[in-house]
Amino acid sequence: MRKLILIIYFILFSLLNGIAQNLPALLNGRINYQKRVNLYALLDDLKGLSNDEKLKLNKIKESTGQFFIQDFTLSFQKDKYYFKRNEAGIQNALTAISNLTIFTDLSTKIFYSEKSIGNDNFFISDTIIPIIWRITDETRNIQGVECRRANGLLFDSIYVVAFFASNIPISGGPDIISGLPGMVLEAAIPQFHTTWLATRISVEELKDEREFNSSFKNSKYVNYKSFLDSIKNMSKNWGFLKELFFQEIRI
Amino acid sequence: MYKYLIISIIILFPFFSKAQNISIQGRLKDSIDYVNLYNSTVMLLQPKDNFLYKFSRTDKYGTFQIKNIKEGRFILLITCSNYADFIDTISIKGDILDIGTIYMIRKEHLLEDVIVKAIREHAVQLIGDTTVFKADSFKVRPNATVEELLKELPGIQVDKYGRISAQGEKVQKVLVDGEEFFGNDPILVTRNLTANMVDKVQLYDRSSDRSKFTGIEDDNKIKTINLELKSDKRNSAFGKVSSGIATDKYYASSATYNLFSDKKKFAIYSLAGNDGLLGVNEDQSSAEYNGKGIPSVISSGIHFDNKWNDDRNYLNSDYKFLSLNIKGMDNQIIQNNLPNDVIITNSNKNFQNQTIKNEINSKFSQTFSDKSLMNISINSSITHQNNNDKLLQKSYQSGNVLLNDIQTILSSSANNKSFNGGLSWQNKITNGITYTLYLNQNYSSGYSNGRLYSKQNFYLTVDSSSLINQLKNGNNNNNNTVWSNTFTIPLNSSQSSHLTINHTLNINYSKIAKNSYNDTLNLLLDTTNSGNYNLKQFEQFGSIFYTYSKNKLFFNAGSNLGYSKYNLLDNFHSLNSLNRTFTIIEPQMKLRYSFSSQHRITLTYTGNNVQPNTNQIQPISNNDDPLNIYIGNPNLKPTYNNTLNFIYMNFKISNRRTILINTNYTFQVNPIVLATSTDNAGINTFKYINILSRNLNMFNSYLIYSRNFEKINIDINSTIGYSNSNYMNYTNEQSNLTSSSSYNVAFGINKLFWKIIKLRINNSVKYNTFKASIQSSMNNKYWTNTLFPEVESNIKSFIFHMDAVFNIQQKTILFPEFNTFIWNAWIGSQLLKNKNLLIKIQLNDILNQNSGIARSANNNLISQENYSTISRYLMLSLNWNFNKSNNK
Repeated sequence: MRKLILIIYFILFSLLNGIAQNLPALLNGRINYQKRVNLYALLDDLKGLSNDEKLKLNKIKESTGQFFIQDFTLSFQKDKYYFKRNEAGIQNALTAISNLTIFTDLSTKIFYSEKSIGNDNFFISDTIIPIIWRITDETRNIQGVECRRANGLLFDSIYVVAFFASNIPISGGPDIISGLPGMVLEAAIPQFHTTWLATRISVEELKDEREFNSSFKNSKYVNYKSFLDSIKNMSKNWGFLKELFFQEIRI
Repeated sequence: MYKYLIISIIILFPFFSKAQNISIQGRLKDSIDYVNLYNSTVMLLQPKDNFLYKFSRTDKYGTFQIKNIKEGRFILLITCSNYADFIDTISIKGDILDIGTIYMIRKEHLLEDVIVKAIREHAVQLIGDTTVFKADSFKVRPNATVEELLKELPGIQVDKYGRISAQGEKVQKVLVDGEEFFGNDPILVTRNLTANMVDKVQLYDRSSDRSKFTGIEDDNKIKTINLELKSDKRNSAFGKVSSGIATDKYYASSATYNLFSDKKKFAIYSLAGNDGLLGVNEDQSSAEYNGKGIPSVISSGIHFDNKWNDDRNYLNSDYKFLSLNIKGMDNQIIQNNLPNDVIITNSNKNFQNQTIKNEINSKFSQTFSDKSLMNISINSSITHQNNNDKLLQKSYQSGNVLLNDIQTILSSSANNKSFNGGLSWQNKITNGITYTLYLNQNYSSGYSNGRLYSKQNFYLTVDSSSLINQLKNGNNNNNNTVWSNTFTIPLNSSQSSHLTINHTLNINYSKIAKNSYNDTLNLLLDTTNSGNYNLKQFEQFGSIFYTYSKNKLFFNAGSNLGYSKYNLLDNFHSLNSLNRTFTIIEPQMKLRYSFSSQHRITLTYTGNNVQPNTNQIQPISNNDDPLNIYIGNPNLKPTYNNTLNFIYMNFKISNRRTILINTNYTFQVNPIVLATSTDNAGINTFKYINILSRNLNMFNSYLIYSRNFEKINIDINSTIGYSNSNYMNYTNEQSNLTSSSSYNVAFGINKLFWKIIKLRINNSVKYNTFKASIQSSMNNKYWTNTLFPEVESNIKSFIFHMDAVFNIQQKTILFPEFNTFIWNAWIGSQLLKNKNLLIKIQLNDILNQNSGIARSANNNLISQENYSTISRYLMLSLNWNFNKSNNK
């Protein structure tokens, strides 16, 4: 049904734009993402643990299960998008972030993000984190939209795979992943055993632009670097799982 | 299909960056109804790595603009739903680049043929003397080895043992990225690397080191294949582990591991087996397996090469170990045509040969500045050999009269060491003049111990029997120095012609000693069968060559001029030294005209002196084989060889048509031939003599034609060949003129059925004639036919493979009709996600017909051999390929 709406939308759109018939583009809408983290694989990557820590981990494994699944919604309008976790507070022994919202303004290339780590809230604002992308010729159909694969390098060292939709001409995506000539509908960071997949795409007009911005008015922002510095400070008390938490917080 | 467009366009371009204020603009329209294309994505990618540099979208009017671009080359990629991707390489300079209107093609209108032609553009190219094959243009199955890729290339054949022949000649070297990889055994490369790692396959004649540094061509050219790897496959770790066990105590197992990075290559291998397919291809005559007997081999090696300091320094080293043990039986019937009789000899031999060899090869090169380059190479080997032969032999005259019978037991063990060090230094002096120094020092020594026991009975003479029971030992030392200076001088400013001037000194000292002791307890020296020689050779020559190379023409001509002094001192018998001086005149000419990069002709002429060797002038008398005795001829004169060679090559891209003509004509003036005299007891005495009255000549020519029929997807290849050689020898003072010719027609097809069954059939028909002026009733004329079918089918993860060799040889006066049908098959299953694990059941020689028969005819001897060899077995094997790409 949803696909049908999308198709109808594209057809209507192309009729309205009589001059250019070819490319119905989706400029306003909402995308639901599911983020999956394979916790067991993450833990298996940890090296140099003591026997005691291994025992602890086994207990933790029992309590968390293999996959940690979170749902997000991304609302977009022309050159702005808003990425938000659906339910705040869901957390387990292996995750650090309890809530997350990111607002990105593509016209100024600045993002505003609110991350809750434990009970601490952080307000971060900086220019969009660059990713070096290599475009490939592989394509995949995600939720009825044709996407092209790109392989990227994040922080010059982390390998990212993303499938972006040329028909959604917003250079955005889930979490930190952006910078492609189209919305990222599926992504993976193999090193972190993390994947994002669009589960639903809907066409709708969004709230007024002012309102769009309002939730980010009052906060005191720090830049990304000083945010990482304060996390590094905090992480001294996090024990042997600190690398794991740090990975999650960085993206 | 439009994927291929990307692949074909990604050519590595250097990436410059300069000014930042450049912009590019253009417009997109539909190619049929000229509608503006809105919201299409226009991307600029960096050509070297496909990284996204900048992107933009088209507006309502279909126009786009990308600003703030740096100067350089980019790949322009335009994507638009329902349209084929548009890809082009653009070079951006100046302020604004307006690429105008681009008409996009809808996917449904895209013609597949156009794309297919585009990728074949450079499937085969001729660059200079090199033939270049683009690997991706030839389809092979996933995980296929380089060996399987080579089989697909026009003009290249690979046999069951992995031996490669190209354009009718054996390929002796396979290089990786232009550098040695485990020296001389091509299998270590072709079965180790996978086909998808290879970008280009280059085929050429590699000149010797000396010729490479001096620029003067010599005779020591070897057919070489170089594999250029894809740049994105240079960073990977890969290898193979395989192990198989079979009936009749056959086994084969091997393991290789390779770690390649941009500048470094590391590899290690180890293998053990006795199936005759593994590791026996060593290019050293001392340890080559020729199909006789059962070879047990253990071998391993390690290779490392590294470039550093901006590629100014390069080191390439490898170490190899080989232990080869060959055991078997050999039964031989020899017919000796005498002027008025025929002697038939029947011999039966049991042999066991063991070789253990350690070898180190190392090369280091350093570029000092743009002006000078230094190379140092070191090769060293230690070889130990043990031979044990038992021989029983009977000769009959006139059909059935027993002439003699001989029983021989010969055992020997030898140790050889060799060391070779080379230095070359190339320096550019002003005005384009280049100076090259080449120094090479070779030292080898060896000693041997052995025992000869031989019991001989002669029935037609008075002294009817004799017994030899001797201990033997030998010693040899050889010291060779080559010193060569070369100047290359350009004759005009455009460097299209130049002159090469060279002076070379070659000094050789050898000591050869061989002792035979009659009484094994008291060690009484047998003076007739012992020898001790000192050999000095001093060779000096200068050469001058002129080279002209412009546009399509290449011309090179010149000559070596000099002399060679030869001094042989017999310490043992005469204390007289033998002095000889030979002149060296070696003119050479080469003319090449390239009509295009797919079409060329080459004509060469070489003349050279072939000096008689020590064994021909004064051999050490040897009683190992009492029926065949060699005596020297100190008055031998050098032979003069003239060789003319003509090569025509023509490739057509669209249907991969290949036409290749190779014609070779050699005539020898003053030829050195063998004179044989056979006495009443059946003992042959051999002596080398010059023939002054007559020139000998050899001619051979072949034409290869191959092409692809695209509609029915068949590759065909055909060869027509003719060869003739005229030879002369003396038998009991009577001259014997022999002439042998062979006519050869071969035809092959190669077809893929339903994308899963690969069929390859080759058939070769040969008509051979052999004429000898002595005993002309024994002249031979016969047909042979060889058929090689090969089928391979790959359905999902199952592989079925079958191949056969069907040999028919017509009855001759001497030999009965002789047919063999050797049929091999295997089935395998590919397991794991990437099909990396192959389980294989292999049945070798299903009909058990590999009987090991060889026939030969030369001079006035015709022989048939029947030897023990590897026959039917059933093998179960497990092969695991692993590959991890380290690309970011």
